[in-house]
Amino acid sequence: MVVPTLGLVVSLSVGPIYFKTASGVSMNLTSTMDAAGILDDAELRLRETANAVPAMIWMSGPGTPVTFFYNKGWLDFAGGEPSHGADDHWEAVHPDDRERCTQIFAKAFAAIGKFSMECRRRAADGEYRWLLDSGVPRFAPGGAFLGYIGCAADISGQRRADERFRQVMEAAPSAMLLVNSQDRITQVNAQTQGVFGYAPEELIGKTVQTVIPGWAALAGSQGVRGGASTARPPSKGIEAELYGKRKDGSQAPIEIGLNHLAAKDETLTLASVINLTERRNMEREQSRQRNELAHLARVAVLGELTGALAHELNQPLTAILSNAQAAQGFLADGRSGIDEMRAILEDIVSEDRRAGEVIRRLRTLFRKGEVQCEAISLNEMAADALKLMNNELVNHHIKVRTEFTATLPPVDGDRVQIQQVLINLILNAADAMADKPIDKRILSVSSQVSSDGDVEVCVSDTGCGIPTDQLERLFEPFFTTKSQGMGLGLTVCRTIITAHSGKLSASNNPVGGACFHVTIPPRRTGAGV
Amino acid sequence: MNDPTNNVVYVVDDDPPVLKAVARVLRSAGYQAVTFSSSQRFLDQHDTAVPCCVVLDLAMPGISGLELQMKLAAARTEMPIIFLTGQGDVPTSVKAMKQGAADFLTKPVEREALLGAVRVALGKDHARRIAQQEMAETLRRLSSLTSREYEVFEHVIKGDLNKQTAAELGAAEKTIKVHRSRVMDKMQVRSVAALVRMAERAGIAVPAEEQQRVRHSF
Repeated sequence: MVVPTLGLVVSLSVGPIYFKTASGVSMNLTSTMDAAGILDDAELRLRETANAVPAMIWMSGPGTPVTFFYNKGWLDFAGGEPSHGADDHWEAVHPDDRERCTQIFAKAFAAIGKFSMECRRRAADGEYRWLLDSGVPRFAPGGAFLGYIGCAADISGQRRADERFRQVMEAAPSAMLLVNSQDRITQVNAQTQGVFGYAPEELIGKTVQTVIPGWAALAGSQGVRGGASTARPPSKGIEAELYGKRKDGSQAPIEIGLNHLAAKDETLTLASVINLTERRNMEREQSRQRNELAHLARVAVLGELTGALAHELNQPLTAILSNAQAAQGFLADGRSGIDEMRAILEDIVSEDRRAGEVIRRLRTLFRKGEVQCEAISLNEMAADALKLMNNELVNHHIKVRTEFTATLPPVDGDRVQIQQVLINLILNAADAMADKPIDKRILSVSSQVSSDGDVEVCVSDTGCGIPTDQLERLFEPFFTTKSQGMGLGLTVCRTIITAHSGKLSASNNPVGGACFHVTIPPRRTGAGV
Repeated sequence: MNDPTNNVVYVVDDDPPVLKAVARVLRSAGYQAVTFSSSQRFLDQHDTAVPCCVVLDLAMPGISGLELQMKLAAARTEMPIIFLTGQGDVPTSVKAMKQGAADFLTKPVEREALLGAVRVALGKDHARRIAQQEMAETLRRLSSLTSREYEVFEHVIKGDLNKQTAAELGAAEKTIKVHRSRVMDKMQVRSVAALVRMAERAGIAVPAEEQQRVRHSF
């Protein structure tokens, strides 16, 4: 309702006086001067001009209670009979805006200063429209205050656009901040609170660095800052990951997308912020599950290999026991010289080391836990895998041919997982040749640098190959051509190689048999090996 | 037979350190150990003339232990085979033993177990060689008999009396008696029981009732 100050202003309003103007349009004029019946020519001409302008114009007298004059444009907008009283002037303002507007006006009037405000005003059709109402004081040539002249523009369209923009911001799943060219936050959505902990109104007017300390570097590098003269695309989305500073002082990993919005007089930056904490957690969980699966697959492979691995350990143990007991026998008889003893001890030591090597390779396979990324040589990996599998291959009467490129660059990878993949491929190759005659079972393992610079290891067999329509299906989970087996081996292998930014694919050899290609990009140059 | 230095133990294993160590164990007990890194080398180079046995790895590239055993059997080389394997699975060991393996040991092998098996195997080889020599000698003696003497020999080991033999062969009992004494001389035996035993060893069929009778006569 009407506030006390307004009450004072309007309490002494005077009734309207009508003039006929040259244009024949009736005008109402209410002012102290009007009341005295004095209207100079200048004032009349001003009012005539105002009526001729296709805009909403109002004028007020200099004294209180304030009286208002409206031009044709205004009356067309407001409809009905013209009124001059302040009561009617403010009554048409939307109740939610009325108190604010009367205060702005009273304050400006008291100080004889300019004002500008946005408010909803009832139109002729009874609907409220948003108006941008600006007024300036008028002065006589001698300096006497003559009252105000103001202009109102219908900004409903813009307000609707603003409102839509606000709704879009609110509807966005991420936190949105609108930042002006002085790095001040001018608008935020409710989601901002979830990311930074500040209530939306707490952020308005603050510098964006309050919540995004890395803003300057981010915006600077992308040409967001700097004067309008800086050449930059008018609206470009960029994305970066950095840390956000929360209200409680804690840091949260965030991803920021920036868009430049060309406003009337400046470029605003709309920042879309996503809290990465959850995504990071999810990625970590996915990676954990992948490693777990890889480990399980490894254990399954180990189950298949138990016999072969036991043999690998048994050989050096046999040599050690026999050497030691032979020495005991020689000593008991006193038949052997010091040279024989020395040779025996040397052999015991070297066989013990050999057993240790087997254990080391085994432990690599058994290891569970974090993936360790290091520079590894695929040649070494392949040779190690073949050594582990040696007995298995011998038992299946498989001849092994290797062709390693000596100058193979290292790759970044996890030893355990890479070895697991190679063992899987070798086992598959061995299985694929089970039905072939013994002299036709050849396993070829080769390494080379591919045409696009990647490091490639090929495991090739002389089995019956893979039907063309299954070359890709092989890698699907639970797809298997074996009577025993879960059909997860190759799926896990591909997952592992993909996690190494590499590729695992299958093809058929022109001369028969299948070939599996492991391709991994070389270790980034500059990184020490 | 009991002097180990006269006996050769062949060792076949594709793993050089194991081959070397097993050979050392054998040498520490005084045996001559001769090593081969593959079945093929063994087939090409081993000497069957000396008393011997072979310690054979089961899983080897090329010709495996079981395959070598079959090849030796096919070549009628009756050398005792001791299998030494890292994977003593039941089906394989059963197959090896059915094919006549002397023993089946698993790695790592205790010295005493290996030497024990070798001792038994060499004993078998020794016995086999003696039996072979005996048989050769028996056959040599048999071949010295005239066809008449051989007929008499057949009747003697059947347990026939001179009178029966004379009737069946249509000769005088006195003549048969002379033949019989020549058979005993040529076969270098003093008793019918010894002659029957010799015939048995040489694989000459002796009627069951005669075996029975001969045994009772001891």
